[in-house]
Amino acid sequence: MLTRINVGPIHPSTHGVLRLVVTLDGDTIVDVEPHVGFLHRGVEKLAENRMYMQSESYMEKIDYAAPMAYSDLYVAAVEEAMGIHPKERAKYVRLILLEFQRIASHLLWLGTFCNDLGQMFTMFMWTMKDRDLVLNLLQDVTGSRMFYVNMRLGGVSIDLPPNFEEHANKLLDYLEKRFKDYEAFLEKNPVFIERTKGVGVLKREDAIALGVTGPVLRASGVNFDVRRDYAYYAYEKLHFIPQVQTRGDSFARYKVRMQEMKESIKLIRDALKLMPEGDALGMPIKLISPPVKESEVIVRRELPRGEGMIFMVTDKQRPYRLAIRAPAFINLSALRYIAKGARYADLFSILGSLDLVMADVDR
Amino acid sequence: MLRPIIKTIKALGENRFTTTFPEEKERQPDNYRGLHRLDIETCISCGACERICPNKTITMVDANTSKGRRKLPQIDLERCLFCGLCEEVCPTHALTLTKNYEYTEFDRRRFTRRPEELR
Amino acid sequence: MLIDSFGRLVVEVIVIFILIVFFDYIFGWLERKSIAKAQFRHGPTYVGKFGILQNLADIVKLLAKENIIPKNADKLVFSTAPLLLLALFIFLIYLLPFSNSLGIAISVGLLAIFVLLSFAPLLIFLTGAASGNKFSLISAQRSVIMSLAYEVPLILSVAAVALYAGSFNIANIVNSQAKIPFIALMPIGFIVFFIAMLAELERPPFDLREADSELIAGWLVDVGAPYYAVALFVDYTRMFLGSLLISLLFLGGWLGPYLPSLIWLLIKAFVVAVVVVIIRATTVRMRLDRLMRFGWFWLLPLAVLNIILTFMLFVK
Repeated sequence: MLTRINVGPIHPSTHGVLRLVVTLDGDTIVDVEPHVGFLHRGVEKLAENRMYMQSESYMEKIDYAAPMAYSDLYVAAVEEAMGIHPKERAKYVRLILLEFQRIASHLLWLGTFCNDLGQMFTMFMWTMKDRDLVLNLLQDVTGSRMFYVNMRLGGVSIDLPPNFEEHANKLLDYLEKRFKDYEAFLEKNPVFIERTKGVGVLKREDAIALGVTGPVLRASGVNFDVRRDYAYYAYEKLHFIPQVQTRGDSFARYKVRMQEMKESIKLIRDALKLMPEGDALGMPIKLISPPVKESEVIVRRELPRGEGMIFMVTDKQRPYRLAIRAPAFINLSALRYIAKGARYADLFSILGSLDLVMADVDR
Repeated sequence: MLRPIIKTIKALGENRFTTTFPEEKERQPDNYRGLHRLDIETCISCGACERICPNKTITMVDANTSKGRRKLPQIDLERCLFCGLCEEVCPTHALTLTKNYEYTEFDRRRFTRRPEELR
Repeated sequence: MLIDSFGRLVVEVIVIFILIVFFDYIFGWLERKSIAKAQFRHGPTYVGKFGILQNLADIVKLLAKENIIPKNADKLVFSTAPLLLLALFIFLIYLLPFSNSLGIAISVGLLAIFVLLSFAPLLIFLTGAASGNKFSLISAQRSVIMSLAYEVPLILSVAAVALYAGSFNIANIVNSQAKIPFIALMPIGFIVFFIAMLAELERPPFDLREADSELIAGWLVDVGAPYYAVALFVDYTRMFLGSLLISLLFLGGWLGPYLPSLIWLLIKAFVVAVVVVIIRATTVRMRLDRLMRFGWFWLLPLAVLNIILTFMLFVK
């Protein structure tokens, strides 16, 4: 006998407003139908009526777990349209700040993932403390803990403060210790292993066919990462290695993100050593945008959730049309195929491991 | 199963991380983007802040100053994104963002701050 | 332990009731503060010094609210089942002896307690089913299915204790721990009993009933505010019952040097409660079918092994 349950828009475990209509046969899921759009704010349309650099603030609010990543994606698209290349030091500064942002985003994910599994907020509080320390560091640089608006054409709005390197290294040492603690806390917990191993397996061919990207794709054994394959900023000089797992279950997705956080620490350390002296400031905001050279641009970046892309058709002072490929939206569409045949309690393990931020899904 | 429990017990011995607001407050850096502050003497009424604002937060309204009756920016705090573009574009640095972030009112109409109130 | 006068009966009833309320209140406060400390935060601090009055404020607030009964609910069952549940647990605590001079100890005390304890899932199921709500029904079903897995190992591990002590009378069981507490004699039995008791108390990792990241609040979703206060009481009273049982049956009850017996019993109950709270802060919720597997394939064989060992080693 099939029952339909509405895991409604307001729910502690759907990260944001997501409505799932779940068809159950006893305790087994037959079908999951996501209803999205509760958080749609029309960001692409808003950008059509504003000058290029005015929309940076809107782009940040697409993903509130890692705002700088989207702001960087958009500003890179505008730079490509205007033929502006970021300064040498600015490439390293952007890379460092983006990798810190990736660590912060994955920490948030880890906390909410453990919440979904029933951890009762202990892991959540610990990871939030670490994320708070990262955000404090970013606040010292940019002035704000979230929604930094610090990307400018050709560089950043404000350079790293003089004592940044020592603070960053201290924080990275602390984070390395904490990551070891988290791994011991979770991987030595047999109940956690039971809840995540073998749950929500996504096979390699299905992952490629569904178009998922990011940690979800890498957990299914596909070695693809925009930071290596379409390298930008200084990633080629830093010997970046994508982290891949082959099992494709929730545990593999968790492991990929843990390894990515450790990889980010390594990248930041190397970038701090290799960073050249000089000027990293971009163009300040003026009332008239610089002239535009290209009419259509496509830019891709590796956001913490997956691969983000912007396709922009330009006009003189403002974008004529902006199309954003949001990774969380595509990852959510894979939920239907992953969750078929799983049990009801596994739904939240799978949903948590996909790392969705509803603002990213709905834009 | 024992390692996780030992980690929890160890965490019991560590210091608390949350600050008891409002008794304790966190410190902010100097470039914190809080509420606006307008220097009425320095403002040249160019209107650049009104034009650059993405969200139509700023409107130039008539106000009395020591140099006569001129147009000065009025800020609608309900629409402000605190992005800092208005501070960056102001040619005389008359409009700045301070470290103050507490603005609670009982009446919603108080959120439209006139230029004289931007202190 | 014969009640030899009516006045003494009344005094004991009142004293035990005060103990229950005291433990519930202090345990509630202790749980919130300890979990907060383990999570690097403060917990209640504002109401009363160290937040000691926070639970009182919560209960006053809950009792003052309007009780809403959903349209699809069965009025009679919905209104009475939670109260019956609270009454059941309070009655069960009265069946336990608190020391040589406080509380009654009937000759089949152990048996009576575990027979009556199995009424609890029934009453929870009735509340959940009478809510007229799919989520409550699912969580109520889960609660009943879970009790299927854990009743048997629970009773078997207790049977080993009764076998050694030679009686179902709890006072006799405590007194036969005078030389060495049972936790040292039958460690396997203690572990089985502790885990099965955690499942009976529906505490993490077995808190499927109130899986509040999946079913929001489970059987309590549609329960009105005054009944939510009753449910909180039920939770804490159940915790008191569980910790008392563990202390009486395995940790030596009220036996101990220097301090009065009652204080020893309360200290041991608090220690058990603190361990349960730490486990709550650490662990992840188990899935229902794995839980059943764990109960039948691990706990049951261990409990049987425990009985065999006890019989071979200690009983002539």
